[in-house]
Amino acid sequence: MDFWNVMSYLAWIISGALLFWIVFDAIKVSKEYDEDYLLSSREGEDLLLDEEKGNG
Amino acid sequence: MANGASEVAVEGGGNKRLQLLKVLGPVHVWALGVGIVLVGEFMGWNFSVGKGGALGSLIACWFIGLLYTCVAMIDSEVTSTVAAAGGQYAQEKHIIGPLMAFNVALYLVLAYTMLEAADALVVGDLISTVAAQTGHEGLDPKPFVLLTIAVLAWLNYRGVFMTLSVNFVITAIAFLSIVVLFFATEPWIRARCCSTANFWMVYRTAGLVLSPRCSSACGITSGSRVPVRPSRNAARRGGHYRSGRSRES
Repeated sequence: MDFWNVMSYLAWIISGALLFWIVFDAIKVSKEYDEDYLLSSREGEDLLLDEEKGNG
Repeated sequence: MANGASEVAVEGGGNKRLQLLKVLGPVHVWALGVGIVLVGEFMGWNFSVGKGGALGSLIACWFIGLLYTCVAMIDSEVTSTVAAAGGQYAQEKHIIGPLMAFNVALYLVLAYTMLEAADALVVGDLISTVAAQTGHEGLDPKPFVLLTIAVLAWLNYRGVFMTLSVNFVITAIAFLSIVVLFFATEPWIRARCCSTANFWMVYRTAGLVLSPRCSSACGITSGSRVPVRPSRNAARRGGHYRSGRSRES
């Protein structure tokens, strides 16, 4: 087994590990937080200021 | 977490003001701007020279540069009025409306998905080529393509600071490689010749001189796209450089 074969196997392993971690973390976060909270998007001066005025 | 943490409220003269939370430093902005130009250097300009010749490529670059300057001007003007970290998506949302924001976001997703796929394929092919040159013929590029996509996805998943920090390192390496290339090819000697083969070197010299100017314009534009842009920047560093000398030979 030469250098490039080793690199190929390493690439498969690292790719699998990274993709597994991303999926695992996504599931963990979705269990940890509410879906409405994760999908909420409060951006921009007008939206946030309106929200603050509404609360106040 | 997308809970509005990109904005902070600050007190100013009794009135509450909102502004974007500054996550990135000057080096990240430098890397974004210079990186975009280097992408053209590694992945675009060389191919355009191959298709249309040096002059054709220069004319095309000039024309596209004018158009891109317009985009940079529009982006910089609009971004300064919208305190939202959503790039062009947020701009359309605030200026035109939700439907246009949806369209823009959809196009951006399609564009960057295709771009990332293309970059990953290029990286795989390059690694196969390098392997062949070092005596290993027929290396399967698939694991390296998958690795490229996985790393890019992971970087973006980690966040914009992580992504652009890596981007800075890669851009710095690419920048140094071009500086080394510039001196290694000695364009100031070859520019004295008027042959077609050496005209390309003159063009490269002009490109290197112009690069910093282009980067300043691109930096403004890319700054507004921070959340979606980084995926472009990592893979394309794998783009190979095809020198004028080897192209002519």
